[in-house]
Amino acid sequence: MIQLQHVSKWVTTGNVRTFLLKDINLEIKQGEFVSIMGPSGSGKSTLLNVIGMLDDADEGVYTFMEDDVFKLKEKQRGELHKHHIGFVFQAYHLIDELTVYENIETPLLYQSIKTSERQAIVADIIDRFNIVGKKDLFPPQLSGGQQQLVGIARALVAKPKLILADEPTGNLNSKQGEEIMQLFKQLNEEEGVTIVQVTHSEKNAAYGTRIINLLDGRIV
Amino acid sequence: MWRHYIKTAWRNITRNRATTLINLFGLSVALVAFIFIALWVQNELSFDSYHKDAKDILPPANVFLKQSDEQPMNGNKLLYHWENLLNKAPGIEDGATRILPQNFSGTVLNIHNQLFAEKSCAYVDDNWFNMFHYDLLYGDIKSFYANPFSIALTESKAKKYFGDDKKALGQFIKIDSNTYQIKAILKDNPANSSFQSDILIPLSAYLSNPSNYKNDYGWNNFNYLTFIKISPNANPANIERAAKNIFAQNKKDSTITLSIEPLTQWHFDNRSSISSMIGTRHGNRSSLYIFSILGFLLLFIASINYVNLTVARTNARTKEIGIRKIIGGSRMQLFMQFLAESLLFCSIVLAISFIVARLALPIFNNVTERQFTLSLSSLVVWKTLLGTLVLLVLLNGIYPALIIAGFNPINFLQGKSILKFKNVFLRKSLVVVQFVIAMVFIVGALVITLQIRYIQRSGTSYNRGQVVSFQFPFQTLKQYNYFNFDKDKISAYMQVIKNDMLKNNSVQDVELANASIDNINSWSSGGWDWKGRAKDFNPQVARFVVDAGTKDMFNIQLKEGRWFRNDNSDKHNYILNETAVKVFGIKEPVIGQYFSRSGDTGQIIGVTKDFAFKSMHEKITPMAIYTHEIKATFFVKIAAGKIPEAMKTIEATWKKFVPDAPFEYQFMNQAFDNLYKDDLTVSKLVLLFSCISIIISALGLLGLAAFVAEQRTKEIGIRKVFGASVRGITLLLSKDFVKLVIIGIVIAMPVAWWAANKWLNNFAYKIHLSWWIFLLAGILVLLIAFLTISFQTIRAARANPVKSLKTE
Ligand SMILES: Nc1ncnc2c1ncn2[C@@H]1O[C@H](COP(=O)(O)OP(=O)(O)O)[C@@H](O)[C@H]1O
Ligand SMILES: [Mg+2]
Repeated sequence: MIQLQHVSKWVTTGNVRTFLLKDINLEIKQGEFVSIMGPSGSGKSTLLNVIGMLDDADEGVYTFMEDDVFKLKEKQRGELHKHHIGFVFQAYHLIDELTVYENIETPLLYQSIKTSERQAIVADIIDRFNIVGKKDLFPPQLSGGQQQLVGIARALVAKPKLILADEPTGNLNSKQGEEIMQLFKQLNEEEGVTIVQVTHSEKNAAYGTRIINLLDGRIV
Repeated sequence: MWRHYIKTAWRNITRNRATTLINLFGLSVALVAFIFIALWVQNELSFDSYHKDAKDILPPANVFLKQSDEQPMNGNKLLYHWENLLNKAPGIEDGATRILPQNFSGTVLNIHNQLFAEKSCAYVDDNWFNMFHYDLLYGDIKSFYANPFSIALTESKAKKYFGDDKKALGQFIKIDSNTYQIKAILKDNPANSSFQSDILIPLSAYLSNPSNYKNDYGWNNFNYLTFIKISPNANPANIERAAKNIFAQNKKDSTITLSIEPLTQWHFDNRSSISSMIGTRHGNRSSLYIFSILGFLLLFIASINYVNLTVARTNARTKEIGIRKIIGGSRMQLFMQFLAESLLFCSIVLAISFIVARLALPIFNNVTERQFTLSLSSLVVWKTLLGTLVLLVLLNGIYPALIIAGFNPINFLQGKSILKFKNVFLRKSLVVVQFVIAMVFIVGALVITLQIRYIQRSGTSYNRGQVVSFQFPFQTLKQYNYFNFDKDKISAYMQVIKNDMLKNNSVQDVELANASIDNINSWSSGGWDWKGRAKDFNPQVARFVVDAGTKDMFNIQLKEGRWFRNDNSDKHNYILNETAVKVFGIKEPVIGQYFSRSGDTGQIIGVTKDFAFKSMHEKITPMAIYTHEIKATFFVKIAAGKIPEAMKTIEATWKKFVPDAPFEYQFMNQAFDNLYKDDLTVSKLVLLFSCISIIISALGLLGLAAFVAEQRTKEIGIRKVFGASVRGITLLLSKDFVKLVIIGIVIAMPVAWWAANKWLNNFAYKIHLSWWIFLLAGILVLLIAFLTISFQTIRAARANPVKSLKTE
C-alpha cells in the first residue's frame, strides 16, 4: 500500500544541509499496524506527514496504492488524501467552534455525501463510540480522553484505508491510552484498517504488528 | 454544505463581538451613504428618460443670447415659431409641442374666493400629452383639450387646494377673469423629470385672448419652450442647421445663437436658464462624479476595516483552517466557506443599511429637496441593492478567502500562523490608504466651510440683516397702464406705499430698486455710451436702479465720488462699479465724465467698490447704478427686535394696495443663502462624509491596535517584568501606528490640495489655500488616531504581566 524509496528531506541554512529524513526505504502493506518509535526530534512526525501527503520530500519516490504521490497535482493528491487517509493527533485538533456531531460530520461534508446517508453514518459511529450524550457539546467541554475519541471517530467516519496517528495517547492517562490502543487493535483486526502510529511507549508499540525505529532521520 | 458554512459563519460573527461591531458599524454607515448617493446619481442619470423615445425628443432651439464674451449668457427661451421648421426639415417625426411657463411672480389662483400665488403654472399645446408621459389618476386628457378653459393638476396640488385629490376633479379655479374647470388629476411629476409644472392649462385658452395672440406670434418672443420629435435615424446636426437657417432668415440678430440637443442631455446643460421657468434645477455632471467617487471611497475605507480585521482574525483561526484542510477540505471548499461568511455578513450589513436608509430618507429628501423613494417593490432598488451586495462581497470577501484557501496545513502542525510575513505590508498599506482618504475628506470639509464662510461674510460688502424684500406685482395691478408708463407718476405712487409702511415705527427704512440686490440679473448690452468707447464695443452692463437711501440701507461702499442726492438733481447721473470703470476703459479723472444710456445723458458722479450682486460663482461684471427708471422691488429695513410687528405692518400695506394678490416676501438673508443652496448642501454632505470616514478609519485602527496588543501580550508581559513603564509600553505599541498615520497624512497633502483647488475653481471669488489648513487637518487626524490607539495600548500596557505570562 505504501512504498517509500530513497526518500530524503532536508532544510538548508546557509550552506549547511540538515537532513530531517535521510534515505528512507519503507514498505507498509494493507492491514498492517506499524508503530514508529524514536527519540524526540528524530523525524517521526515528519515521516508521518510525508506519508499523509501533508508534506513534501526533497528526494525519492513515494508510491501510495499505485500512485506516484510526489508527481501528482495538488488536486489529485487532495483527493487521495481525502478518501483514503484519516489523521489522529496528540493534541486532538478538533474544531472548537463545532459541536461533537459537526466535527465528526465535516469530513463527509467535504466529500459531498448526501444528507440522509451522512446522517446515518455519523449516527452510527457516534453510537459505536458511545458518545451519543455528548454529541451536542463543544470540544472544550469534554475531557481529553473523550476528545481523542471524537478525534478518532472523525478520522474513521469517511472509512479510510489508512489511519495515521501522531502520539495519539500522548496527552492521556494510561487508562485512557489503553482504551485507545484497544480500539486501534480492534479496527485493525476486525476491519482491516491499516494503522501507522508514532509512540514513545513500548507498551503501546506492542499493540502493533511491526516497529520501525528512527534516529536522526534514518531507519535503524 | 451551505448550511454548514452559514452555521460556522454565524458562530464566528457572534463570537468576536468587538470585531463584528466595528465592521458592522463602519460598513453600515458607509453603505447608507452609498445607497443615498446611488439613489441620487441614478436619478440624475435617468433624467427625463422615462418618456417614450426620450432620446428622439429634442428641446431644440436652445437660443443663446451670445455675448461678446465667449460664454453664452442668460436666457435661452425657446421659439414659438418652431413649427416653421416642421414643414421644411426632414426627419421630424411626431411634430412638436410647446409649453408656455407662467411664473414670473406667480399666477394668482382664486379658489372659493381665497387667493394663492402658484408658481408652477404652464400652458401646453395639443400635442403635449402625446409627446410626454404622464400618469393620469382621475379624469381624462380628451376632455381637458375639449374645452380651452380646463386645468390638469397634480395629485399633491389637488390635495393642497381641495383637501382631496379625487374630489378636486370637476372643481373650478378662477384666474384673472376666467374660470377654469379641473378635468384631469395627474400623478406628481417624478423626481427625475425636468418638467415640474403642477398646473397645466391648454395653450388655446391663453391664445384665445387676441392681444396675447398678437403679442406672441412674432420672432421676438422667447417665452415658449418647444420640443420636437425626430425620427430615430434623422441626423440632429441637419435639423440644427435647418433651424439655424430658418432663424437667420426671420430674425437678423447676430447676438442670438441656436443649438439642439436630446432631451436626455438637457438636464446637464446648465446654460439653459429655462430650468427656473419650469421648476427644475439643472444637474451638474462634475458634482455627480465627485459624489460617486466619494460614495465608493467611503465604501472602500469601510471595506479596508473588514479586510484588515478579518485577515487579522484568521490568525486566530489558523487551527480551524489547518484542521479543515487536513480532514479533507479542498482549496475551493475553504474559499467558498470564507466567501459565504462575507456574503452572510454583507447581507446583514445590507439589511441594516437598507432599514436605516429607509428611516433616514425623509432627512435626505429634505437636504436634497427631492422626492426619492426607497421601496422594495421597485426593480431599480433591487438592482441597486444586489449590485451593492456583489460589490461589497468582492471588496471584502475575496482577498481574505484567497489567503485562507492557499494556507498549507503543515504550517499549522509546525506551529506557524497564517500571517507571518507576507501580509503585514499590505495591511499597513491599507491603513495608510484609509488615512489618506480621511485626511482628504477633512481638508475638503475645512476648505468648503471656509469658502462658504468667506462668501457669507467678506465677499459681499453689503449689509443684509433685518431686511425684507418683496416685489410689487406688475400683472395684477393695472396702474402702470393708467399711469401710461410715466416714470414720475409711478414713482409718486410707490412713494405713497413707502410712506404707508414708514408710519409704523417698527419699519426703519423703505427703499425701492429694480431688482433684488443679491441677484441683479437685469442687464443690457447696447445703448450705453461714454467717452472713448470704441464704436463696436457693446459690453453687457448690469442695471441697478435705486432710491437714494439704498446706499445706507445696504452700506454700499464708495471708492470715489459721491452717492445720489435725495432730490431730482441726479436724475440723469450715474454711478459705476469698479469693474465697469476698468472694463469700459474710462480714463482718470472718472468723476464728472460723460455717460449715457439710450440717450439719457449725464455724468459719472461716483464709483462703488465692487460687491457681489450675483452668486459668487460668477465674476462681478460691469454695473451701472442710476435712479430714474421704474422700480418695483421694495426693501424694508426692520427695527431691531420688531420683526412680527413690522411684518404685520407690511402685510397691511400690501392688502391695502394689492388687494387681489397674496402677499409674498423674502428675508434678504434667506435669499442670499438660496443663492448658495447647492454649495451649502455640498458642504453639509462633505462634512458628514468626512466625519464618517474619520470614524471608520479610527475604528479600524482601534481594531488593529487591539489585535496587535493581543499578539504581543507575552512581549509586553516580559518587558513589564523587566521594569518597563506603562508610558514606555504605550509609546512602543503606538509608534508603529502613528508612523502609518503620518505617512497617510503626507501622501494626502498633494491630493487634498489638488481636489480643493479644483472645487474652488468653481468660484470666481475664493479663499486662498494656505498651508495652515493642511497643518490643522493633519494635526486633527493625528490627534484622533493617537487617542484611538492609546485607548487600546494603555489598556494592554496596564495588564497584569504575571497573568499574561502564565497563560502562555
Ligand atoms: N520545516 C522545518 N524546518 C526546519 N526544521 C524542521 C522542520 N520541520 C521539522 N524540523 C526539525 O526536524 C526535526 C524532526 O522533527 P519531528 O519530525 O517533529 O521530530 P519528532 O516528531 O520525531 O519529534 C526536529 O529537530 C525539528 O525541529
Ligand atoms: Mg513529533
